Order: sequence, then structure tokens, then C-alpha cells
Amino acid sequence: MSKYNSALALEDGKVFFGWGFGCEKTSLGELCFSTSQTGYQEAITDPSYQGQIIVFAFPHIGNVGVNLKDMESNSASISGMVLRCEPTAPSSWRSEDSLQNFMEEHQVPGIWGLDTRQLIRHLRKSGPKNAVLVYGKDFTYEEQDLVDIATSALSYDEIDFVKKVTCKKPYTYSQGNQKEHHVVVMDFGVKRNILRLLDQQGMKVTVVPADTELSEIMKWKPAGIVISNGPGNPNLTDPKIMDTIRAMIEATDLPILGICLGFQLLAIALGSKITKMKQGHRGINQPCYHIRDKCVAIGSHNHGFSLCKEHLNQEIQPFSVSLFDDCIEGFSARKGRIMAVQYHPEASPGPQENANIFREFASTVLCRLEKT
Amino acid sequence: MPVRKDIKSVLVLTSGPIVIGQACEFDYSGTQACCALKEEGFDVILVGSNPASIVTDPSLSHRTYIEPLDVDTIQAIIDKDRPDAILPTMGGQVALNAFMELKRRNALKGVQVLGVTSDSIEKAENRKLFRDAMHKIGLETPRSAVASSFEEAENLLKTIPLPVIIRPSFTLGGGGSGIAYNLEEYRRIVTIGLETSPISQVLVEESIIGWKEFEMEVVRDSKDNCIVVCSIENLDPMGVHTGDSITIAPALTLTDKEYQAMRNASFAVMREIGVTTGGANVQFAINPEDGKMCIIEMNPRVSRSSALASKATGFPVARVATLLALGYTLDEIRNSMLKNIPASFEPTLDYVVTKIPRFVFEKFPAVPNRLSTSMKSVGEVMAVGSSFLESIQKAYVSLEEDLDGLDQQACEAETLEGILSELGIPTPDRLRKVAWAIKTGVDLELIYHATKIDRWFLREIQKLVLFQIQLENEGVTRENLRQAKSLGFSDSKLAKIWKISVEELRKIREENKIFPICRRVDSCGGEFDTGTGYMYLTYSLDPDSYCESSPIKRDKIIIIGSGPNRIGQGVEFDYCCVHAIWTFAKEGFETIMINCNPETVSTDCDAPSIGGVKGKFSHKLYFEPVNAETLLEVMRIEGEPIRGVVVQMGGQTPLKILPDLDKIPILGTKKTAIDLSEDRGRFRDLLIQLSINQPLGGIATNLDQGRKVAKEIGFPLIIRPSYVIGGRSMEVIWNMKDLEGSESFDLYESILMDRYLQDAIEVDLDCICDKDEVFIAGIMEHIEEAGIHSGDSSCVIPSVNLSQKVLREIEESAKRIGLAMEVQGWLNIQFAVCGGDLYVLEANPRASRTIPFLSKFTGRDLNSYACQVMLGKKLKDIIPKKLCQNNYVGVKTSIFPFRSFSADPILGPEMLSTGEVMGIGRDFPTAFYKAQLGVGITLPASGTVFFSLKEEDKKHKALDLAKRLQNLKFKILATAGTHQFFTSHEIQSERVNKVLQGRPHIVDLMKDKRVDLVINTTKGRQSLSDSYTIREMALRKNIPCYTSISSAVAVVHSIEFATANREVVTLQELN
Repeated sequence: MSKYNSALALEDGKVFFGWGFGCEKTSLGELCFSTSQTGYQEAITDPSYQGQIIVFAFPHIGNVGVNLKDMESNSASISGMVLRCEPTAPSSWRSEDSLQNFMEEHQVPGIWGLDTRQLIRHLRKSGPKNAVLVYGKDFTYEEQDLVDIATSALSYDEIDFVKKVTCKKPYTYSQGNQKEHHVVVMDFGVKRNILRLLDQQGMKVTVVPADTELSEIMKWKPAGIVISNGPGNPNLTDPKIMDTIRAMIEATDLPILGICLGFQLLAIALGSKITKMKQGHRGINQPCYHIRDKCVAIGSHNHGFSLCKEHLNQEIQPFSVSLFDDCIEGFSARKGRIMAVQYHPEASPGPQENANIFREFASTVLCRLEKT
Repeated sequence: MPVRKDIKSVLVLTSGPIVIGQACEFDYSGTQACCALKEEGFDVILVGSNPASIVTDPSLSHRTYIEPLDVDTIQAIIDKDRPDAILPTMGGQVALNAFMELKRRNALKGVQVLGVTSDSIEKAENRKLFRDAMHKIGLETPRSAVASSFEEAENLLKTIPLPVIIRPSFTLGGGGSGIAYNLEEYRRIVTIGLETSPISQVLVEESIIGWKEFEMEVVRDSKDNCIVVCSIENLDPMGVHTGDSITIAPALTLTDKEYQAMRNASFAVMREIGVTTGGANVQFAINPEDGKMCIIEMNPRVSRSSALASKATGFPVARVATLLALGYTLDEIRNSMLKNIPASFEPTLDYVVTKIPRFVFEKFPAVPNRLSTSMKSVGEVMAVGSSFLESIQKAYVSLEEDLDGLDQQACEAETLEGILSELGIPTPDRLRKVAWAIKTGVDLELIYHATKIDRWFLREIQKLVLFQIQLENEGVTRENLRQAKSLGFSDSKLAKIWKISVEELRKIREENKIFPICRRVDSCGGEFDTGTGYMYLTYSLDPDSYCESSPIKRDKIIIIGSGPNRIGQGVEFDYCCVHAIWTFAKEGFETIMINCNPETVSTDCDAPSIGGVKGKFSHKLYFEPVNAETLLEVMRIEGEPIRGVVVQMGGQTPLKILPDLDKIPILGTKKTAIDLSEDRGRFRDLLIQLSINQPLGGIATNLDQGRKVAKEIGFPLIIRPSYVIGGRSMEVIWNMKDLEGSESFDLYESILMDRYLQDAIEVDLDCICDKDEVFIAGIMEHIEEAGIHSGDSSCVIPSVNLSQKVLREIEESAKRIGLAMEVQGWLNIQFAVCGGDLYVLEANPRASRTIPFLSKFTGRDLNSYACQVMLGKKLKDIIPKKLCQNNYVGVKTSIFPFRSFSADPILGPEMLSTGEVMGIGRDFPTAFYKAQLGVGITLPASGTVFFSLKEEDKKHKALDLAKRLQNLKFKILATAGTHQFFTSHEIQSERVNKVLQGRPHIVDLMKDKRVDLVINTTKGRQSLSDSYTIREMALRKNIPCYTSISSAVAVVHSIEFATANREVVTLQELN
């Protein structure tokens, strides 16, 4: 077996050695994990993972390669990848390239040969950690140097990632479906499948930068607004953006759908609080109970912050709770005009049974149009 | 409080005896169902026919019937107990079929059905309805059509070209199905298929051999909430029955998009078929070229895969399915194994699970070991590893087939072309041949095209092969050792590669501190802390990996399980292990189970609570190969104090690992006594010392010696290799020619030869010894004569033919042997009574396969006595003073896989049965009659009987039989010799031709069902093959066929006296 050529160092002083793959470089990020057995490509291209190094619980990653259709954005979003087994060559009729090549092309380093279960256990007990992943052919770092890099880096919670991932200028998304009404998506790091599903609902989709002012948004004459998913701490969001969202709630009668980070921003705008969870939800197997429909839905979750129950106000009517820890996973406000879900209804990866929120949103939009 | 307030009592149908296609997975599911029902406050009525199972234990239900699962019997139970509801989804196909028949007969008036409806069963099992339903919801199925007659089937070939798959409706384990490549094969399989299907219907299906095969295990509640418990990928592509495939969980070669499409389709199928609540299994085929998806079938019930999925994920499918059937919804229940996780949480794995089936082709040498769409395996093992390779290598070790991992197996062919065509034929050892082919340099792409095994798996195996070459070249280094262990190389494999002893290898491993760590199967990939006691061992590349064992300082008892089901070792030993867990847990010990069979109750990490053990107990399950390496590592990890290791409950498996271990603190009978029983010479000396008879015998290491020994002891004799289970390769030898024709002298190092006691009655005795006293648990008289393996022979308790004097003599001998051997715990002795003399055939100081039968008949938890004795308690303090005796008779009868192997249904000293049933009656004829019903034979009350007897049987007994049958108004047919024998003794019979004597012959008559009973005894190889067609036809036409006079005597006795009205009795009433 060749010598170690890669290491992962955590801010708390833990250092792990292994073998590198992907791009040879040093990369910083918050170490978090995913327990999904499928969908690694969707995960690593999900902008919500910006600034994070993902530890995969499942041992065999790379098994189905990568392909263009499963991209959730134009590039890899993660800062690094941590695996137990060496990524394998792809075996899938859908595969167009190997994971290793993809990582190299997108400048993301990876490390394998680590006890990922132990890492996850550590993260579960002590919370997310800043970490540095180093991979290089002439790998000669001292442990303490690595730890110092991890410690000196800005904490994940202090970085406003949205600036990095939001689009630079507005664009229209279309798959050629017939368009009835226009929605504007505020892009905090939107996953492509959200746009795809909105399009499938017959909506004309325009994506705008997160800091677009309300007056600008209104120029598109939207029939509804979507506040997208995205990375980072919602409490760091630019106050101007928060003002835009508040104005959207108070000064317009537009239906609004918030997803993940969008959920958190709407909650804050409605006077509630979002706090860091002791243990986030990181998988595609999470059950929620939908209070209204009296049913269980399994979905894709990826959040480390949640709506603080102590600060619930009357504005917020929860309609979905986690069956695991009771945390609020969906709420409506303003008589159903505002809908927000903490989970990922667009799935990709994950079960698709939460996607009806898009239909509901579309019918709310339609309803309003019919009334006016 | 019960959710369903309108229901108080539930009748649970279980499956029957262990057969191919239906093994102890239903013991596991039935047990969980009963437990859940009891916990919810229902009165549980259970019916099953298998005495060896745990689910038929009287402690698990309120009213336990061990009765045949025919509809008359179940109806009698319903009439007697008037249950409010019936649960038919826990007992496999047998239970579903029985339920459907009850429904057709309108016998379920007022009894509600839980978990399924007859409509949905019809829709799922009727091939045409199912196909139509799938098309309705937009899912594709392979092109197919249904035929109900031979002519219809002929016509179908016009639209569906060969090759095709033929699948009979409503059969289990793909029974009667097959792949036809030409017209001749097609006609043959269709004929058999129409006969096999209870509704005479076959589906003829476009062959999609070579497509990838997947399964989804799903559950649904009454509010239409669905979750996937587990996805399973078959390593062997379409064309091999999934029960015979190597399978991997979770699926490893699907993108999320494909996986989700399959998940959505599974739910759609459940909804369309109408599985209202509970579990189901949906099978898919995927074209590897373009991802096209076809639905193959769905089981609207808990299945073999459910058991595998439960063990693979830690999600108790049967238990949850039962609760859902009662009206709970997924959000209302918690996963019982993982206290703080809701049942709706879809399990996710951070390890890989491999299942490998266990085959017994060596028992049926005439049958090619080719795998196809009808199931052939008798058991399976599962292994858990941190990677695919670790997992599959562990699974190979678990099989107990003397493999050290994925060992290479050379192809017979020598040319590349030959090798590839050999790899194209699915066989049990194909993957090992693939490894060999890779080693010899055959291109991976060529192997892929020959086998259609996904390239991902082939590449992994290539990795293994290359790494093994590296190990051979580089020799022992710490890094090599660490990496090898993480790829699942066993100590024994590495020892062989490096040409050192296993002990040396272990020493090197210890010096380098390379040890496995313990991981918990927690359903959530480590996302939450779950505290489950379900563990596996794995080797990490990271030397500082965390071991999750957290051993406690409390007296521990390690129980070694019995591994995969096979012929000779099955669920009966699981019964013993599980009862041992219960007893030791009740006694306050921490119990630790080691086993690798995913079908069993012993591998349920909830085992103690299933036994109703209340209060503080802790239990750990190590899901690991049952061998010395595992045991040593578990002992190292668990540390002191270990009170003892239990080796007498798991059949021969635990004893097999003992020679490797000297310093194991064995609980109960010591190693010296075990060795004594295995050492023929010493055992013979002991018997001489005790003045107890043994048949004359000797040992030979080659044919020359064999001839000499044979001359000394005389013919007939029984020969067998030493150290085997299930009478492997045992033969009765009648003359020198037979002896010279035997292969055993070439195959085995030493052969034991014993005088065969003709016309002897064989007796099985089980007793418990505490070194001071011996408690006789039961004496069972065999119905077939000595010479037929005790596991195959029917037996009866209490004895019918033996005198009190002989019985006393048997007891006395047993006591003397037990004390002399210093047995502490179970002792099983086999005796033969011949001409008034008593002989000891063998003695085994361990729990035997008759323990559960005896326990159920006597209504006592006999195994708890044995376990307490093993802890040092004395019999006088634990056996209740008052020994109640019931007035019933119990008969145990075996069931055979002849049909699956198209094999000659003749019994001999090599065990061939897969399972057993029990009949209970007020007298022997009734009990025997019920036992026959249990194995699917209805004895005729009148009709035509056919006799063909060997020379030795043309005696008084046979004449008596014929006369009695004549009195019963049977018409007698006989072959020439037998006819002459009858005529000369003034018994009327009609002579019929043997097959070789011209037509019409006996087989013609049987074909037309003009024969109702066959009594056919033969001897020697030639006559066996002469009469084979007779027995084969009996098997196909389901005509009762008996091959020994002793069983025929029991049959006639039974026909004479068994009462037709069904008296059903619970075990609780029995005692």
C-alpha cells in the first residue's frame, strides 16, 4: 500500500491520514456528513453544501460515476469529500465520467481510507467542525500546522456564503413547457431541480440574484416568488435582503414559497428565530408528519439550523414536523399565501413524495390570478 | 390497548415444515407477529405443523396448535376457537394458499382478515391479473401470456419466441418453473408447471435473462404511508431464482434517479395490488444497456427477503407489519430494536450486506448443479462488512463449506472459449470461477458478456485477485496484513497464502495490534446514538478506529449458533439456541449470540424479550461467521467475566470449531467427553467396560482394508466417513460388489464400517445429565427400520412396539453412558433393538434435533433444564416432582426435497430431509395420519395399491399388510415376483408390467391416477434404477409412496384406524 498522501485536520486537534483523490490542493470547510446511500453527485453539486467538506457514511461512492443530467448546479459546490473506501470506477449506463475526474476538473480534493463512521460519531457528539483537507503528491505537513489552519479559518457560521453562490444576473430557466404564469426565484444557491419542478408546473421561471430589490423583482410582474435553498447561517443574511423579504410579505399579496434557507429567512422575517441545532438532519431518509394531510412523508433533509419553537408566533402555522425530533419542517402563514418547508421537496437526491408542495404553490398562484 | 377494539383473538397461520423455498424465515416472522400481538393484548391462536420451530412454542401464543395446515384442520380450529380475525401474511405461500382456500370454501364467516385481502392476493399471484394491473399503472412487464392447458401453451410460442421462462401460478420458491431454450424443454416444463400449479396455470414469459435484478422491501400502513426498508441487488442477473442468487444490500449500481423511480414504482404496485397494510416485496429487472425497468413480481406478504431486509437493516419488518395490520400507522410506532428512532425512518446503511445461499447438490449427485428459476438452495448465510469485499468474503466463510473466503475455483474447461461458456452457466461456485478466470488473465469484458454480472462487482473481484497476488509476492507486512483484513481475508486464508499456521498468523496479527472493531447495526448510518445490541466485526484501515462494543462487567454467556440451514442441521438447533438465550437471560446473565443465518430467531437482537424475559437483561448479537476466529475476537472484545461458552446447542457447527481451541471455558459437558463420543475406539472401549452392546464394526483407510473388515463383520454393513453430519456419504452395502463400487474409499481418509442390523427397531433417546443423575427426557421409537437415517425416519412417542422391559433397559443404559461420559447437559443416544437385543449406535453429548419435538410433546421447557444443569444446578432441584403424562401420541415425520431435484425418493443412511412435521392424536394411527397430512399426503381410505417388494421383504409382514389392505377393499396390483409371492400365499392380486416389461406398465396406470398407494421396496443399485420411474411418477402425481415395509405397516395401521373427523388439540390442552 502506498504511503499516505492526504490528511484531514479538525479545529479540535484531531488529524486523520489517508489517500487523496480528485484535485491536489488544500481546502477549508465545515465538516458535515451525509448518510445517503445514493445521489452523491446531486449532493456535491448542491449549492447548499458550499463551504462544506462532506463525510459520506456509505462506503461505496463513485460506483455510478457522474453525468450531466444529475447536476444540481453548474459545478461542484463542496470543499472536499471524505470516504471510507477508495472511490470505484463507474458502472452505469448513465455514467459519462468518473467521480475522480469530475473532482479534479472541479478543483475539489478528496480523501479516502478514513473511518468515516467514527468521524460521523465525533461530529454527532461535538457538533460540526471546521476542517482542512490536504492532498498533494509531496505531502509533508506537520499535524499541528494542519490543525492551526483549521483553527484559524473563519467559522462556517460566520461566512456569508450566499454572496458566493447566488447568480450574478437574472436568467430564465425553461425546459420548453407551456408557460402560464411567471415566478421569480430569489437565488440563494438554488438547486436545479427546484427550477425543473416549477417549470413542470407550467410556470415561467426567472432566477434573480439574492440581493435583488423588491422593486426590481416586481418589474418581472411575478405571480409568485420562491425563496430558494442555500448554504450558511441564515442569521448572517444581508439586512437589505431581509428588508426585501419583509416588504414582499407585507407590501404585496404574492404567494411565496420558501425552501430550506428560504424557510428560515421567511421565519425570521415573520418575527421568529432560527437557531443552530445540536444535531442537524443529514440524509434522504427523514420522516416528517404532515399535520394537514395526516400522512408521513420521507424526504431529503440537509439543515443544521432550525426554527426555534420557543419563538413561534401566531403568524406561523406549522404543517409538518419531524418524526425524529419534533422540529418544525413546514409552515404556512398569511392564510396560506406563504408556504415554507425546511426539507427539500425537490429531492434530488432522495424520495420524491414531498414534491406536491410545488403543485400546491402553483394552485395558490393560479387562485390568486383568478381572483384578480 | 388494542387499536382494533372489535378484535380480541387472532389466528396466526404459519408456514409448514422447512422445505426448499420456505425455510425458517417464517419462524422468524411468525415469532415477531405473535410477540407483537401478545404485547398489544390480543389472544393469539397459532397453527403450524413444524415442531422444530420457535413460533410453535407454547410460550409464544395462548393457544398453540401443531396440526397439519390443510384447510379441514384449520376450519376445525376456527370452529373450535372462533377467532375474531386471521393473520395470513406471516406464513409464506403456504399460509396464503390455505387462506385463499378457506375463503373459497366460505369458511371464514365472521372472521376478519388482517393485512391483506383475498382480492389483492389474487391480483398479485394470478399471473394474468398481475400483468394487467401493472400495465394499468404504466409499469412494464416482460412480454408474456397465460396458458391453462398444454394446447394453449403450444399456441403461445407463435407470439413469444424461445427462449422463454415458464412460471406456474401460486407456487413457492419458483416451484415447477424453468427456462426453455428449445421446444422439447418447453413441453416438458409446461407439463410439469401445469401439474405443479394448484390452479393449473402457467405464465409463459419473454426471457430477459441477463438483465439486472433488484428487490425492494416495502411496508405500508392504513393511511397509505409507505416506506422502503431495504433495496437488494442480485449479483446473479435474471435467470437465477432470487433465493439462489448471491444478493447484496443495499443496491450498489443504481443512480439516485433510478433508485427513486424504483421506489415510486414499488409504492404504486403496493397501492394497485391493494396491500392495505403490512409488508411486501417487489422484484424488478433492469436492462443494463438502457435502464429499461420491468416489474417481475410482488409478494403481498412477509417473505424470505423481509427476513433478510430485517437483518440487513435492523428494521423488524414482520413486527412492524403486524402492528400496521392491527391499524397502527407508521408515525405511531417506534422501531423496537432502536428505541429512539421512529418506524417511519427509512433505514440507511453504512456497511454492505451479502447473502449467499447454501446448496446441497452433493446429496443429489445425479442432479446437475445448474441454477435456474426454480429454487434449489436449502439455506443461506448473511455477512456484514464495511465494504463489499469484506462482506462477501465473510459470507463465503460463513457457509461452512471449508472455504476461507472468495477462494478461486478452477474451471474445468481449458480453452478460453470453454472457460467463458462455463462461466455463462450459473452454478453455486460461479463467482469463485470468475475469480479464477480473472487470475488466469481472462479479460473482464469477456467475463462480463459471459456472465452479465455487473462490471462493478467484477472489478471489485479483480481488486481482490490482484491484492492476493501482491500478498503472495510481498509476504507478511503490517500494512499488507491490515489491508488484507479490511478486505475480509480470514486468518485461515492468510495463513494459507503465507504458508504458516493459523496460530502463527494470529500471533503476528496480535503483535501488530491488528484487531477487528465492533460496529452496531443502527439503521441510520451512525447519525444517531441508538444503543442497539446488534453488532458486527470489521477491520478498519485506521489503526485508531473506535470499537463500539462497550462491554459491561457482568457475567456473560456466549452461545454459538448453528449457521446456515442445510440438510442435517436446521431450525431445530436455532430453537435450542433461542431457548438457551431465554434461560440464561432469566438467570441474570448477559447473553451473547454468535450466528450468521439471517432467517433465524437467534439472529434477532430482540431474542430475550421475544421469550418474555422481563426485567433487566442485556443481550448482544454478533452477526458473524461461526468459527474459531470470530469466537476468539468476541471473547477478546467482551473481556472478563465470561462465565462460559455454550457449544451444545448449535448442532455440529460449534463442535467443529472446538479442535482449534483449547482454552475456551466451555459451559457444561467438557471437551474430553465430546472427544470421547467422536473417537470410535475409545467409545467402543467405554461400552465394553459398561457391558453395553454395539454392532460389530471396524475402520478402513482403503478398499483392501475395507474388504478385510467386511469379511470379519459380514454383510450387510453400513459404511460412512468419520466426522460428518447428516450421514453424509453413508451407504448400506449388501455385498462385496457394492463395496467395491463405493466411491467413499477414494474420497475419504478413513471409513467407518458397521454391521447393519436388519429389521431392527431404532430408538432415539434424549436425556439430561448432571454428573450425579440422569433425567430421561424422552424415548422415541423410529417407524422406519435401522439403516434409514434417524433424521429422515418418522418416529413416535411413546413407543408403540417396545416392551416395558426393553424400555427400562434403554433407560438404564442411557444413564450409565451419561454418567460414565461425565456429561453435563444434553446427551442423545441412538439405540437399535434387534431380535430382543439392545445395541448402542452412537451417543452425542449435545442437544439433538428431537429436542423441540420432545419439548412440545411433553409441554416442558426441557432446554431450560439442560441450561440450568450446565450452570451447575442439580436435576433434583429443578425437575418438578410431579411428572404429568399426557394420553396422546406424537409422531414426527420428515419432508424431502425430491421434487426440487427430480431425485429418487428412496431413503437410506444418508439424510435427505429438509424439515419435519408433527402429528398429535389420541392414538398412533391418528397421529401418523395427521403427520402424513402435514407433509402433504392424504392417505387413501380405499382404492388401488401397488406392491413391488424386494426378496428380503417377501415375508410374513408383507402378507399381513396385503391381507389387511384387502379387508379394507383395496385392489392389489403387483409386479411379477411379488404377484407370484402373493398368489402362492392365496392373496389375490393383479400382475402389472414393470416399465421394462412392455406396455401398459405400472407407470402408465399411475399417470392416469389409477393407483392410490405405492409400496415399493428395493435393494442394491441396479434394482433402484429399474424402479426409479415408478417412484418418480408417484412424486409427480402426488401418489403416496413408501419404500420400506416398516413405514408401510404404519400406513396400513393408520388407514385402518385413523378417524376422519378432525380432533384438534392445543399444546396447552395436551399437558
